[in-house]
Amino acid sequence: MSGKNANTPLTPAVLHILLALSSSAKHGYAIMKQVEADSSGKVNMGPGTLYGSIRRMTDAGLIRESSKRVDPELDDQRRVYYEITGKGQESLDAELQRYREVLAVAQAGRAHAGR
Amino acid sequence: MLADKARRVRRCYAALVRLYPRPFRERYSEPMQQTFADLLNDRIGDERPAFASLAWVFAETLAGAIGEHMNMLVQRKTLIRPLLGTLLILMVPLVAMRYTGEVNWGLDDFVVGGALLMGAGLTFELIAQKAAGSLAYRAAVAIAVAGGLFLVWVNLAVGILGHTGNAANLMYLGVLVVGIAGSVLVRFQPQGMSRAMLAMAGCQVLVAAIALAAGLGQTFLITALFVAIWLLSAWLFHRSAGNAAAGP
Repeated sequence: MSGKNANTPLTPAVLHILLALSSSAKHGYAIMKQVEADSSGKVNMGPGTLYGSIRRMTDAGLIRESSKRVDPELDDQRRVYYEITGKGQESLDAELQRYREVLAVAQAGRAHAGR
Repeated sequence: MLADKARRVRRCYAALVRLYPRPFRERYSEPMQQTFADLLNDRIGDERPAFASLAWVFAETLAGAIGEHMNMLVQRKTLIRPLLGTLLILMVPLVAMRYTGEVNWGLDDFVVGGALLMGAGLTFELIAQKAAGSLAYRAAVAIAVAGGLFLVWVNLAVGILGHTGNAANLMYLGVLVVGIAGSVLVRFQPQGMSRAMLAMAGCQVLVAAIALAAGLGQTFLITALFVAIWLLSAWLFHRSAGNAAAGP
């Protein structure tokens, strides 16, 4: 994954994690909850998938550990927060653009078929 | 009561996380355990069936550990040498079958042979990594693994005791179990490995003695061969321990 550029398509897990981190830095469980909420409960990510993806994404420079503590009520010294990097934001933007293009093609195809 | 249960479950999860490769563990063991603790706290007050959801988390984490190990094997190219070695060795019967009717391997022979060779090669690579640079340690591992492979192969092919398929041959599985369990218990440290190999030699003699007493025939030559293999490996492990103690 380290050799990937912003135009490489993302796996669903990576896309959901980037989406979850695009609004603010989060710790592991907050990411899991956010992914579940963003997908209306359709994507249920466990710690194994989450931290495997975090490892690959950190190595690829898409996210990094953050020193911020944005959840003071639940805060714990052991809790590690992650934030999206510039490269991660570029990858997310590129992926969302791809989705928009696919959607446009699909809508144009349906409109053409409906005529 | 509930807190005790939660503590036990957290301890089980911490043990599961220890199955991850060390570099991964060093970075993510704490956050993973913290995430699991958060999840557990949430589930305790949840109406969802806690057992099924926790079982899923445990299974998912176990799958993650296996995935990380596979990823490490691929990254370190650990799989390449055993794979090439296995393919090269399997080429021998494959080519021989074209020129002689004496060699007649079926698909199952190739599958079992391939699995054994690949397993042995991978075992060697994984254990030998633990003492990079020590020639004696690597040689000791190579001899022990080759001995283990030979023992399994002979038993599968013809059997040492009685006729092919005689259940008494399963006693030789005990020799391998002693070696594997001993190696794991001593965490592959050379001095401990030397003792594990000595224990294997002792077991080999014990099996021969039981076979003789039970009238299954005398196995002096083959027993002597395997005892020599385990003793040679033990000596090399002992030498490797001596070299490590003497320092550079």
